[in-house]
Amino acid sequence: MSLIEKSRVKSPWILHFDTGSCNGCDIEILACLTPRYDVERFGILNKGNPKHADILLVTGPVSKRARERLKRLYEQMPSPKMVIACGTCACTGGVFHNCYNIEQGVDKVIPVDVYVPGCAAKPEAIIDGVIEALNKLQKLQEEARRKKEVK
Amino acid sequence: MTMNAGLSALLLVLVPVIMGMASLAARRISLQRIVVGLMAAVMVFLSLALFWDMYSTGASRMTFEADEIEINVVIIPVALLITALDFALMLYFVYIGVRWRNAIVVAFAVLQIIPLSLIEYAEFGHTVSPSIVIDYLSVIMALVISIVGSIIIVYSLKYMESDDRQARFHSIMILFLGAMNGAVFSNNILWLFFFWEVTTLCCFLLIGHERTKEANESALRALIYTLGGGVAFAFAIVMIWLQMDTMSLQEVLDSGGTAAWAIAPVALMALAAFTKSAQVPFQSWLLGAMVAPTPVSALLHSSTMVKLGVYLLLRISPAIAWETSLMWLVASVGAISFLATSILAVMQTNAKRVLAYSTIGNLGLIVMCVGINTSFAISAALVLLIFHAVSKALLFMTVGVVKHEAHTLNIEDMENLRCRLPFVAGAMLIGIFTIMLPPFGMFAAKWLIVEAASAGFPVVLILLAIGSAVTALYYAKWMGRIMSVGATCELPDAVRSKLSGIYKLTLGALVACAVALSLLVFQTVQYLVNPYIALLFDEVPIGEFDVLLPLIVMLAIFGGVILLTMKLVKIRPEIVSSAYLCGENFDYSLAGAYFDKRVPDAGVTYIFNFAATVVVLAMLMVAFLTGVM
Amino acid sequence: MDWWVLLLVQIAVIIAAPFAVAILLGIDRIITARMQNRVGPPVSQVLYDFFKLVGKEPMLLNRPQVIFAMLYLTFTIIAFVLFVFGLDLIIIFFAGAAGSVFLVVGAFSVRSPYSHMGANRELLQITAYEPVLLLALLIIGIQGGSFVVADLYRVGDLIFTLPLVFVALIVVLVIKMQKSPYDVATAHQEIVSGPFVEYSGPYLAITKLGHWFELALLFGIFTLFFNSDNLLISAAVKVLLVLVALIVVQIIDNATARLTRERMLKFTATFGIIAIVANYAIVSILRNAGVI
Repeated sequence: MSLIEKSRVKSPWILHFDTGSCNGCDIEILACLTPRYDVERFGILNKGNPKHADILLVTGPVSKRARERLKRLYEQMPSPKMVIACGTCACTGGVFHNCYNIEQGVDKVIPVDVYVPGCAAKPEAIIDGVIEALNKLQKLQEEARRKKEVK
Repeated sequence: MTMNAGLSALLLVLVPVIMGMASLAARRISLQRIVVGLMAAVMVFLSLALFWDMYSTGASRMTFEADEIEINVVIIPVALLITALDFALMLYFVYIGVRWRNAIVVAFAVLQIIPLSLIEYAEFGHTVSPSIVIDYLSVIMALVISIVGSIIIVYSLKYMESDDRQARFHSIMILFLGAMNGAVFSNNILWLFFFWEVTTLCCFLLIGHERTKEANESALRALIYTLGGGVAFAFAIVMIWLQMDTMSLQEVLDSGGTAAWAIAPVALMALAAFTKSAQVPFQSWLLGAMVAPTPVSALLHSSTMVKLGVYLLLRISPAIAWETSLMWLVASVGAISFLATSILAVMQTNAKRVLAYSTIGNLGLIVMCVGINTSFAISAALVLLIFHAVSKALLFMTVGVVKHEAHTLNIEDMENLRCRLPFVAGAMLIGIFTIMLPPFGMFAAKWLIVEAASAGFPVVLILLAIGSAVTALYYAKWMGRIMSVGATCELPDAVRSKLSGIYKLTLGALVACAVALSLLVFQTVQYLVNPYIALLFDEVPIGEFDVLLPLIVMLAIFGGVILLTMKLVKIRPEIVSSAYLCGENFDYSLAGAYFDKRVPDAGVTYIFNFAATVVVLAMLMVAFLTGVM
Repeated sequence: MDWWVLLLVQIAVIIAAPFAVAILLGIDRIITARMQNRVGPPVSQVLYDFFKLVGKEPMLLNRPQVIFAMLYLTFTIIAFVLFVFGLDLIIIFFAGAAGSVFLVVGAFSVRSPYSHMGANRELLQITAYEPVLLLALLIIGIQGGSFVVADLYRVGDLIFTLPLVFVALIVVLVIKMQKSPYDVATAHQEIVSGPFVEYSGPYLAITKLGHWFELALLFGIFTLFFNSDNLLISAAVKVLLVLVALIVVQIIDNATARLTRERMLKFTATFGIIAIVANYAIVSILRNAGVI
């Protein structure tokens, strides 16, 4: 694995965006950043800026208003990027499923890589989700490299 | 026929006089352009010929007699002519005072006539030998005046196009160049005084050109301050005549300060220089003078007339060294001016006011160097003089073009300039680069100043350190404003104004001068500055090549990096993004309002005026006490 | 030392400096983490961050933004290279100052509110620390007898004669490293990333590299404060000085909250300048009295 590929896995910077959540999942994400769960040991930094971030952590069922903002934030992130839907609201709409004022989950707006269920999602589960995303990134990189070697 | 230096000097004074009168007569625009263009070409040629003659003969000082000039069989009594014109000028000032009902102007003019008549009465028929002295200080000033001045007057051809009194305007501007040249070549103090007052008159007439109420008030204020300086100058001349019985500057400087009241005239001349160069506490006339048309601001109030004050200080710098406390006080006035104007410029949004404060600040640096009075310091002062003249004129000219094309002088409105007027924005950017950033020339001067200051006056260092950081603040703010461009700039239908050929020519010429000077900073020092330093001191501090080598290397790297980046970074549509607005997407305007209300303008001015007044009074007291004891 | 051996050493120092600074910043994060009773990232985390940024897809708003970032990097490298080659301190200072101004203008050249705010605040920061830095360098030069770094390098006792200048330089380090209480420009989470907000991927990596060279220069100035003929003692004390400065900055950072920009200006203008002036005054008095 080249240096850059290894660094991508070792240094994921997150952007957290709330698309209408009750803030339960947001508090759990915040808890991940505290000394008790300490995600900085994975190199994770909470950057508030999509242009600096690699992983987009989305909470909340995407309300109609948040739809465009979410899309724009996703577009402003440079690739390679991963999207993690945190909480059941982000995955499928959760308790608000089939309501008239929301899109039914994040994957109706932007492509999602990892789904972290839970209401609210536990910090351990969120960390698990981030690691899952990094594993997926690693696999994608290996596939891309293998394709290049085959050519 | 070789151009002999004396002939060049003479022509540098006479040609503007003739051309100025021709301009007055030529009412048609096309004739005006021919007269001005011809004058510009001749002046540039003459000043370069002067330098070439000095350089090729290897002389560091040339003297000439010009009390009477023989052209074939006609004898022009120059000395007599100047004396007569001097009195006529004084009486004209009295007339101005009467016409504008200003008692102070009348008083000052009368206070000048009295000492002058005294001297003329006693000295009638007495000649000063030599009457013209040309050394490299004069050559530097002549080059700056003739080249930068000519470019500015060509620029004003286009700028004042729609003005119906432009014949008068151009003739006064051209005449002014002649007066400046006369001042820097004169060794006869009375002639210097005459040319000094002619520049005062030109300043008054040009500031009041628009004939609005504000213009007239500003012109009168400028007249009061500079006439006041002239009074100090006149008293200095009387004291010199009484004490040393000579009207030759060289003899005064060579006397070594042994006469009883030797310090007093030096202090008074320094005072005159402070008023001319608008040092704190005399700075308000220069700020008011910004109502004048931009070519006036560029020519008089940044690159030439205000330089006459520091020229006088540089000329009498050996005399300032006679008294250590005088050196210290002069340096303090310069340092206080620099710090005060740097802080005050931060809060301005009017571009011309920012430039005015910046001019006073840079002149303060030169004054400070004269006060420190080591070979290093005077070298720094000369380098600063050259580079500042070119860069400041360039900046004023670009501001003028922006005023005409975009109808605004407010820096806040200059957003998107890079899109609308790319040539002007580029010239403005280069102007600001050359005036404050390494690796360009002004930085070389700043570095020399810091080295010089640390050798002599550590206390002044604090003011210098704070001032230079604050200088970067307001210039960076301005640069940022003109560079700030939205996404609409890349669209093909973005509004771009077409720029006139004259503007492109003159702005381009000054940009070329600024860049060339920065590239050739070592040559500038070696051929222009060092000969004068060698004359004053025994050693030449900037002789080694490697001292300035890093600058040239930095400049090359600077250009290289810009070109390389422009080549390597290709704008493909898929990599262009939009600004981060938390996901929003709406129209917004950007204000630069971080600095304006933080420091009270009036309070700061008051404090610094008070401090500088104390220093000036101390200077006069020193003059008085050294004479009495 | 032969001239070519010296040249090799200097080039090695220049190449190793950004790595060393990255490791120091990694140590910085570990110390912060341990102070907060957590594990923290590995030491080479900052290097991983850098290479990840290099590998990102480029994204920009306009070309001048990138040009000015490159100029920022260029001038901080020039300043550091001039320092390692032992040239004039004042030129080094002005080159570094130019770099900072280029970063600010780069931030201004994109039409983004956060970027402009960050650029304005960065300018205020520069106004706060530059007078202190310039004065400190001037007093070091005056006390050491020369402004050329090669000569100052041999003056071994600056830490004993100019201790307050060392303290003032620590204040400058706090501001330059963007640590509380004076992380005014990139007030994280308040104005997002300040001047860096519109930079991403490789262009952000360029600004980070420039920042490392800036810090390398400042740490280099710290190493001027002590020298001895014994190479081992010299190296050990120099490293100790740098680590002491870093740890003091860490303690200040973790113990304070962010203060306003007016407080920053007032603090550096009073404490910073007075400390340096007082030090110089004391040294002059002692020298005149013949004590040193």
